[in-house]
Formats: sequence, C-alpha cells, structure tokens
Amino acid sequence: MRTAASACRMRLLIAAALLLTACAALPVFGQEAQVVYLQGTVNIKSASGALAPADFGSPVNPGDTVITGRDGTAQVQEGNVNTITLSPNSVFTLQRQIVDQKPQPVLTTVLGSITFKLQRVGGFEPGIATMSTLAGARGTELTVFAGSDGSTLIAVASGVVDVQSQGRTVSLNQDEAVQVNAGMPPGEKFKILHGQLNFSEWNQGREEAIASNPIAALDAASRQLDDIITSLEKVAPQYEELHAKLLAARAKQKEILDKQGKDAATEFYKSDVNPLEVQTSNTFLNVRYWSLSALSFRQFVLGGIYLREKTAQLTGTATDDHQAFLARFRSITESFDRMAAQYLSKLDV
Amino acid sequence: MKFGIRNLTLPLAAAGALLVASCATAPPALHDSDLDRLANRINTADVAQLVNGSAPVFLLDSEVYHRTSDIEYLWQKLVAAGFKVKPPFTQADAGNSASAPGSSVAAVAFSAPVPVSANSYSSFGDGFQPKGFFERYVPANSYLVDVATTLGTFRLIVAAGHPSFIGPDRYSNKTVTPSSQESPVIVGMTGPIDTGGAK
Repeated sequence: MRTAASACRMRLLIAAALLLTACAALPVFGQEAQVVYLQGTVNIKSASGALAPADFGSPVNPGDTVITGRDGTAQVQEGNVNTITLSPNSVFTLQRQIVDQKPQPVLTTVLGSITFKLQRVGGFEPGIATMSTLAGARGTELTVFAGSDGSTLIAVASGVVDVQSQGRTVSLNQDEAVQVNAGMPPGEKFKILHGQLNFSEWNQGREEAIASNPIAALDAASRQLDDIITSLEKVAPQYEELHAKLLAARAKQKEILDKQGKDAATEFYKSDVNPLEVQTSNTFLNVRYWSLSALSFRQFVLGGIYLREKTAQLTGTATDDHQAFLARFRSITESFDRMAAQYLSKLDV
Repeated sequence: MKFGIRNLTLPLAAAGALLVASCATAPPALHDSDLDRLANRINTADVAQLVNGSAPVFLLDSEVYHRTSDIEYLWQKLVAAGFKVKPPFTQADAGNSASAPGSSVAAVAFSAPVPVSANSYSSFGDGFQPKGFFERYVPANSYLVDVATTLGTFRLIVAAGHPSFIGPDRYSNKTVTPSSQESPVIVGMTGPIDTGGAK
C-alpha cells in the first residue's frame, strides 16, 4: 500500500508530468495537431482534466482525448500531411510513449471508427493503437474499428501496417484487413474494399456477443486489461528505482555543495543528477502511458460492458449469472484500483 | 443575573455574522418543486429530455461515462423498462395523492435531499472512480436524494440550478453543460439500493 509520503510525491510528479505535457514545445508529430473540421458534438478532454467542446483550430496535445457524439465527426490534422478522421461515437486518444529514449506518438482508437491518413515525413512513424493492438504504419491510409467489447478491426487502404497482439504479428497490405477479437491474437487477414467497411454493422456483432454472454465478454476484456497492467508492472518498478536513485543523487549534490562548493556541485549535477532526471522523467511518462491506457480501457470498454449488463438486469433481460458478473467485474476493477489508480490523479477521471 | 441589551450586542452581532456567513456559503437549495419537476421529467419518459437533464459526464454505480450515447443508452433502457417515480404521479396528480393529501410528488417519493459531502462517494463504491468523480465532476450545489421507482429505490446525485459542470478549458475557456436548460440536473445514479434514506 502506498504511504502518505509516496502519495504526496506521486501527486507532485503527476502534476509535473502534466505540466511537461501541457508546456511541451515538442509537437506530437512533426508539427502541432489541431482540429481542422468538425460537425455536431465533439468534446476534447485535455491532459489537464478539462472537458470542453472542440472548435475549429482547437489544439490536440499529448494526453488529450477527443470524443465525438452520436451526431459528431471531427478531423484532426498535423501539418498538412497527417489526418485523423473520427466518425460519430468515437473516442481517440493522443499519447506519448518513450521508446529507446525517444518520444513516440501513439494514436489510439479507444472506441468507434477512425481513419488515419499518414505520411512518413522526417522519420515520423507513430504507433497506431487500440486497446488490444499496436500497429506500425508506414506511408499509410487505414481505418480502425474499436468495438464495444474491446475487439478491433484494422483495414488498410494504402501502405503497409504490421498489427501486433498477444505476441503475434500480421502484416497488412493494400485492401487487406484483420480482426483482433478481445484478448486474442490477430485472426487471419482477408481482402476488403474501403467501401465495404461499416462500423455499425460490425459493432452490432460485438454488442450481440456481450448480450449473449456478458461474463465471457468480461473475461476477454479482463485479459486485455491484464496485458496493460503487466506492461505497467514492468515499468513501475523501474520508475520507483530511478526515483530513489534520483533522490539519493540530489542529496549527494547538496552534500557536495556544502562541502566542496558550487562548481563541484554543478559538475556533479551534470554528470550524475541530470541524466537521472531525464531517465526518471522518461520512465514516468511510460508509467503514465500505461496507467492512462488502463483508465481508458476501464471507462470506455469495461464501463460499456457494465452498462449493457446493468441495463439488461434492470429490464429483466440479463442472464441468470448476474451476481457472478458483478463479482467478476468487482475483481477486475479492484485490480485496476490496486495497480493503475496509484499513478492517476482525480484530473484523469 | 440580569443582562441588558448592551450585554447582548456582541453575541447577537456574532450570531448575525455567522448567519450571513452561512448564507453566503450555502449552496442553492433543492426544493420540492425541483424534485416535482424531476419526477415529471422521469415519468414523461422522454429520452431526449432525460439526456438533456443529465450531466455530460455521468456516474452510474462506480462507472464514469463521458459519451452522450452511453447516457442515452441508459435512459432508453430505463424508459423501455417502465422506469417511473412511484407512485407514477404527474405533477397535476400531486395534490390529489391519497397517501399524502396536498403533498407534492417530492414529499411522497423522494427522501429529504442531503447536501453532497466528502464521503458521499461511498454510496457509489470506494474505488478510484467514484472518489475522483465526486471531486472532479459533482458541482458544489449537489444533493443525494433517494427516489422510489417502479424498478426499486435509486439514489441520485442531483445538482440544483443550472451548474457549469466542467472547465474552463485551458484554450477555449468554454464549459460543457447539458444541451438544454433542464433543471435540476441528474449527475449520477446508483441502485436499486436498500431503502433507508440518503446517507
């Protein structure tokens, strides 16, 4: 269990991370991303926790979530080359992960249907993610469906996309698609034409799967959350260790300042403290990435499954296993609270 | 011991100051007429009206919903299941209640509103989400109130007046509010619960 001191430290670090994100001069892609077109209801939940209607020109920064309403569509553009188009009822998050000590933008389709038109400029290669897959895109136009049960369908209109899930990778070329069922590796790829894509029809199957066996849907979703939490469990101890080293180094720097003077302390800062600060900050960004991913999954996928089962129970159409569902759901959310919530703040809710 | 008026000046002034201070900080009250309107809205079973009268970020049990489509889904299903304030009065019927002649729907079907406090989240669970939701999204002028319905007793988070829920945003300074001026606003709900009044 976290101590009060560590809780305080975490709040400060979360605040620091938010500040870094908000003030980041580094754009998420090559240039700043912003909303260039919208229609109907479109809200942006910013990294600072504010939720507000989007407008033409609204910036979309790392940590932001764009949510379209039933009547809403939005287009987010970076420079003049990369475009992200959100269909109605979609949720998109822009995050940043540190890979090989370099920030990598990760564009996540949490729910709904999103089309990406991406050009690789100056080495730019974002991760295209859903709650269950990560795809590397190279000079690509692709559409991503993220269903109510956590399943994914990725269809490529041009370029090449490598889709990874549960340790398996499938390479997609033009007019190819693959479905990744919740908590499963990618299935077999198949041919598809862009005009054949229909999210509502596809998602209807996902809704029916939840309705017919909500516990199975919950179990599959739970495996996805487990994957996210496993990734978090890998980086969190690294962060804790680095943070402890950083505190020790700062203490030593102060000791050097007291005993040997300013020049020696500055030298020690450059050689020891600053590299640790960079490493700790980078690792913390990854901790935040995975904990925010867990939260998105909890709110938009697990929450959706819960809503369907809850209303089925109220309307008398639930399965006989409602109590078993509730027990399973409670166990999953407890796992979320135990592992991910400690790295989140109320602003993230 | 005898006290003249001058002896009372200081205590009266202090009491007056306390009264003024308490009035200045007290949130807008949730009146029976507000609850009557709420009952009417529920019993009219108009999903669009119910969605418009719900907060843009909504708490159902321990789960937080940011999408209007989810809130709409909830009301669609509740309406389809015949969710009504029990007994299913309309506002016009309220004065003719046999069980409580002359009373409003509020007096019959709702518990006394309890202002939201630091521990109010516990009705919705004790995890990260309910705690964070109450801190982040529940306006100061909100109350917990239990309502008897055809589907059991539900505990509602009800915001009096026309609160601005979220924001201001760091760029646009805009806030998200319900799309119409429905008042009071339902911010969340949990249930069916054991009866016994709002804690």
